[in-house]
Amino acid sequence: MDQKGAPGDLSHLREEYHRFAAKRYLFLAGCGILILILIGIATTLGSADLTIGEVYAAIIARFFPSVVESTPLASTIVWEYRLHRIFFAIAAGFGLGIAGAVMQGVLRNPLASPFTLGISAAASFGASIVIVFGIGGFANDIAIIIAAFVFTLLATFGIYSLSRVRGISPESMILAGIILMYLFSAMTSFLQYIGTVDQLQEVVFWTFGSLQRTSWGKLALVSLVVGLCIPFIMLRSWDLNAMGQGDQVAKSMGVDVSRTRTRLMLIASLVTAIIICFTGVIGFIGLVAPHITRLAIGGDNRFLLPASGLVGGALLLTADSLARTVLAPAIIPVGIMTSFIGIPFFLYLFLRKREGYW
Amino acid sequence: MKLLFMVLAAAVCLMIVLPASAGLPGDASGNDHLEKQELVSMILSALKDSTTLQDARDAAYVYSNWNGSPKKIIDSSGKERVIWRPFHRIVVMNSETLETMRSIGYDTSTVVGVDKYTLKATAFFPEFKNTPGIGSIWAPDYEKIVSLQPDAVFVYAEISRSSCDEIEENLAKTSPGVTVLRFDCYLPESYPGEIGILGDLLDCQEGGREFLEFYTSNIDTVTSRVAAVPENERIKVYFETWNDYKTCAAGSGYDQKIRMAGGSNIFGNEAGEYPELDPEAVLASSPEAVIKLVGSMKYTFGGYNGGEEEIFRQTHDALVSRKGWKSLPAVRDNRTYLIHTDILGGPHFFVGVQYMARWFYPDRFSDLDPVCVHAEYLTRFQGLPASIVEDEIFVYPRLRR
Repeated sequence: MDQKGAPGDLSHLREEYHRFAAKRYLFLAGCGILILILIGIATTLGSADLTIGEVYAAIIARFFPSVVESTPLASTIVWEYRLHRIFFAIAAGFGLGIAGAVMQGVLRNPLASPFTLGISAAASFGASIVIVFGIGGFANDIAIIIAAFVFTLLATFGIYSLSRVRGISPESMILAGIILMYLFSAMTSFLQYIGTVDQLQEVVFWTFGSLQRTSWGKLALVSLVVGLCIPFIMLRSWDLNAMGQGDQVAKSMGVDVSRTRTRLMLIASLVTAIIICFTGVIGFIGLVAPHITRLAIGGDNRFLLPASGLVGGALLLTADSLARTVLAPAIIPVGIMTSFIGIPFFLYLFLRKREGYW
Repeated sequence: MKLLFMVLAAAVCLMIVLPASAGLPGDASGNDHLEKQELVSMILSALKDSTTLQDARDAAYVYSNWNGSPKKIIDSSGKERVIWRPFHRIVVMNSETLETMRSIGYDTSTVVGVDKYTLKATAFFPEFKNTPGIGSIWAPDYEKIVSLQPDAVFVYAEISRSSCDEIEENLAKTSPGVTVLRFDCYLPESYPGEIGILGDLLDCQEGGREFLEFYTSNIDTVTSRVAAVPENERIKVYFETWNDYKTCAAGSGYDQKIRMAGGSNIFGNEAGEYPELDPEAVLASSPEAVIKLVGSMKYTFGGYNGGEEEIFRQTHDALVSRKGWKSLPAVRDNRTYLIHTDILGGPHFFVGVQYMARWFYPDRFSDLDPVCVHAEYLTRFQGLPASIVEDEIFVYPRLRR
């Protein structure tokens, strides 16, 4: 081996790595700034025709009531209807984006997402049971949230249990997910079949996804769960990178592949469950945000995971802002709008990047 | 092999018992007109062969009631329907038409099949609780329909048009002798006409006229007084279905009914018949009256199937306690109301329209008594006791009389 050139080569590699990392940090910072700008714009959008001045006066007046005055109407609209919805969109988009990236990484499959693994189908089934059988009566909304959450977790444990029979591997998990997806979809279709036309409409609407029912309390809960899960996911980003090279490589590097795979899947499912039980099915974010991010900055999970979350947040906030304004005062379900804006962007990147990125 | 033979034999038997193909009974000349001589021959033939007795009865009916010609009507789908003989077995897949049949005095003992919603409405349709169910227009049980051997099947004209088109096409293929008739019986713009056509179709002209007079007088009482209110002075109404923040717009029956009662539907010009709204739009629109529809989904209580007043109160309280709503003119002035779909969604929507007119313009309609009109409708046209109106809750707050 040529020992002489080694010091120079190392410095060159170090520089290259710094450039590599700087580019990715720049992407993360760019996404953060983009989200801040989107928040600034989204706050001023709405059916109530508040001026930009009225909106920001209402925000500032909450903290400095003696400095700026605001009308009760503007204050109610901004604080009780807009802001928590905007932050919920970011938190939910972040959670779905990062959960999708984890699932794709863990299963080494570009099509893995809560939607394709049957988790969304399970949530839909839980919601459908409550809607069709009228469970909860007056507290029907809460019953839907609980049922969707419980069935999402049941599906997760179902995937885990089924795949354990065949040995925890990407293939067994994906097959188990597909089995459960078809099972829950069939059961939901059966409920739709026996339900009334109003119930059918409600089930379909739930599956479109909506941020209409957000509140500060729900935002706090979602943020707490997503916030608690992120450190664990990030700590495992190196393991994910190793697993991306194959289970044997990861094992040779000391990664407990089965345990890491199981834990990350459970956490990603928990994050998904806590979000979609409130919003309905917004499956597309979990699929497309990691892909968009991967096309932009590559597959290093240390950057891919947080960036997928940020892209997911930006995507969902943009989609929801458009959903609120395109046909205002009518609202388009956000799940529909997410696909409308995500697909062209995704398609552009997909066609532009000629080399395989996955 | 034996099983296959049995199945084929059953299918052949089923085909044999299907209704006869189109044509006037006894019309030997085939000129679509029954002459006196043809009727006499038909009756003489029936005296010899009892299997043609029903044909002879039908021929006599057609000759004496329809002047020997087939009956031709145009139903709400705009299609001309030719009726060759009186109906003996009918299937009604829309409860609104069934209710209207009762209103015009039709003998509903010929109804041999009803939809699942009629079966569920045991308080309003008690006489059909043991009638065979044929599913719904969205999930029809074709085997059951065919096995009931109906000579007419009633479905909707506008509601779920594609489902009803499919039913019509399927029955035309499998049972060409069955006449499919399409009526809605819930839209203000078409209902008076439908009453008249149903009266003609079912030979209940007198009952049809009587009910139409009752209906028209009750609607006219409202619309004639509302006409005096200038458009720009009409009360601004926010109407909400049983899905929170889902309203009604132009093209929907509810929008027509609000306007009929003199209300200005705030979101009447939005796209789609039932748009879901941004909650802040409702706040910004400052409605002077709020009408919330109950009777389905999480608001399944009240109406003919009964319900406690307490749940109406809780629903009303939750409505007025929504964030920011206390500043709405409607809430400030206590003009927020719950109304059950039983008196606004179906054929007796005129009762609901009268309630709304009382709420919108209490001075102009102080003499209007929708409770009394409701009771009269039930006793005179539906054969139901008036006590239902007092025992059950259809609006909240209940009207002070």
